[in-house]
Amino acid sequence: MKRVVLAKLGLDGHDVGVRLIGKHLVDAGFEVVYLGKRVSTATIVQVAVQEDADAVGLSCLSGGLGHFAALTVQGLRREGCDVPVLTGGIDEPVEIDRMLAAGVHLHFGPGASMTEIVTAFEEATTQP
Amino acid sequence: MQHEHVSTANDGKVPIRARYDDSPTTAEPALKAWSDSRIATPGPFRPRFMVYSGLGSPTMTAERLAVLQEVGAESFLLAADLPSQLGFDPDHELAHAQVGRAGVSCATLADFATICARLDLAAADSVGMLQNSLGHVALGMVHSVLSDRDARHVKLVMQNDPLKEFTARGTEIHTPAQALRIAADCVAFAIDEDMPGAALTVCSNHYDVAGAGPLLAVAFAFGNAIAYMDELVGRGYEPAAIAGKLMFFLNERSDLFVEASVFRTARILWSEILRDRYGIPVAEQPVARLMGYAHGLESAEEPLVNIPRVTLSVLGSMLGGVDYLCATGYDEALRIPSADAAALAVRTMQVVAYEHGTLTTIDPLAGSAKLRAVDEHVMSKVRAELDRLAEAGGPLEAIENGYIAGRIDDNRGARQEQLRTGERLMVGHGVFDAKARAGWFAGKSSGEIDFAEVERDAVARVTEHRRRRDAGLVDRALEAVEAAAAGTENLVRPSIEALRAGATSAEIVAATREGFEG
Repeated sequence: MKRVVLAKLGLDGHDVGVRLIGKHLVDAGFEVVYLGKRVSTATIVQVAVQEDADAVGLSCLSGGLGHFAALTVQGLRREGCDVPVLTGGIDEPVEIDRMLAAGVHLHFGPGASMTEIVTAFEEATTQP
Repeated sequence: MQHEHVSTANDGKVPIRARYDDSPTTAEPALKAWSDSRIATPGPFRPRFMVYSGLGSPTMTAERLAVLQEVGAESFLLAADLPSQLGFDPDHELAHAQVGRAGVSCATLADFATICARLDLAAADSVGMLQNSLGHVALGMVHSVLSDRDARHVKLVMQNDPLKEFTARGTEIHTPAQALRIAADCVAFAIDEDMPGAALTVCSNHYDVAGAGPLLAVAFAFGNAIAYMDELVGRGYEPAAIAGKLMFFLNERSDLFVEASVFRTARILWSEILRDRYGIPVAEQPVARLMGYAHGLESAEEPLVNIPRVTLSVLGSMLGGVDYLCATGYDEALRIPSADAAALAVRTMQVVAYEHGTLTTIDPLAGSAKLRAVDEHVMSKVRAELDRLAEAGGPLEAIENGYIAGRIDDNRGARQEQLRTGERLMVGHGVFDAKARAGWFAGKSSGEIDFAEVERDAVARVTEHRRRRDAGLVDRALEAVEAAAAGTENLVRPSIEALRAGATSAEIVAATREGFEG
């Protein structure tokens, strides 16, 4: 079973979206580890490595998405872990570009459909 | 019949009475008590003009509040950023990129004093903060500044409603029972210290916005109000004294008449609760204090068109008898409102309150056949939902067992669905589209804040603040907070001592947690 680690970044408390995605990923056959709100990037990296995650999903709607997502990718790569990191939420376009350049696999903004997101996790966790 | 004011201040000199006694305004006991309390003064029977404001640094916010007071704002509800609302110092790892964004960065008593520095407190009606999960720190800040500036007459408009955070707003810190303890400590402190105004604002607003819809939201809010009341009654406080320290923040964002009804009927429903659950006869009940926020249908496209939308929302709550009202800026869907947009929102409330005779009469919709039917529906729905909440274990248990979150989930998306199917229309969004003319409706909103600089400034200030204070004094004060949290002593007093010693909000929250967890 494919394992996904989900977490909220920064201090954002809007977790309806990420919990809904978690539920749909479970329905689609994933095992989901949701770390909750206000999680440090060090914790996300640590859990992703320990749990041997197949993908990491990060959500933030209140500022800092680009910063924290880029830090998470860097932390994972430093641990030699090359799992795909997918993000959802809002940030300045320049921050989104920066985190994608830093190695975030895919980003979803407001309006992305659930099917689209679940498919993206399926594709991202399928070995080429 | 008592003599009541009659106005002919309209072009046709048509006599307009302050109250129509052959109407539900005097037939319904709660509405009669409310209108009796207001009718002694001539109209307009208007709310206090409130601003919900806070941006960037304390200095920037002080400037904004001064501008808004200059155009007529009377009540100042401070918007703090997420780190401040959650008890994180601005230099905490997780605070990055959120400092000064959703509101002002307010980490210390010195920050709060700066925020209030340019307010003319002699002219201000009220001051407050949200800080729902650290009400003891926020009330400590407000109490200290009002005391230091000899302004204890200024009323409180504290939100301090942590129970809704768990399911509707997301800034919870402690467990529901611990959160209840902190909120109740604040109300108790306000009673003990005889601080006027609202020490706790019970919110339906956030449940509505989270997806519950306005009626279920009112029921959840009343459920929480009962939880706070019960806690304080259990400590020996008089129910009427407790009720006198509460305000209700109500919300309806889609129908002028339902909005008015939600406000009017809240007075009736709350009065029933005070009578039936707490045994307070209507004549001895404090008149309910209601707050509103005119917002909710704004669009980022054609921002100027939000002005009539906000105006109608202002009208709805004013017709319903709101006591404290703020209104969103027309550009809030785009950015933190520019100063002129925020000032225009104050002007909008003033125009509705003073022009077109909107509020010459108290409770002007009373007696309408339409409103009678709407009221009946609203009240029966709220009563039924309160019963369901009780069956689900009551407000605290219903947080833990998922009932409240589940009901919000069930209702979420109703508006989007109505708009999608065309059952409801929104001008400029699929009807009367005029994309080529978007520039006509753009407005002049501008003024981006350099948030990176705001964060650097906040980090530098808190660093300097820590360096300059007496560390021993801070440690002893924080130990007292921890001891109070571990026992039953009111948390506000030691929090004030800690703030005065120079402790940051984050340190007081941490000491509180240590005490709770023992």
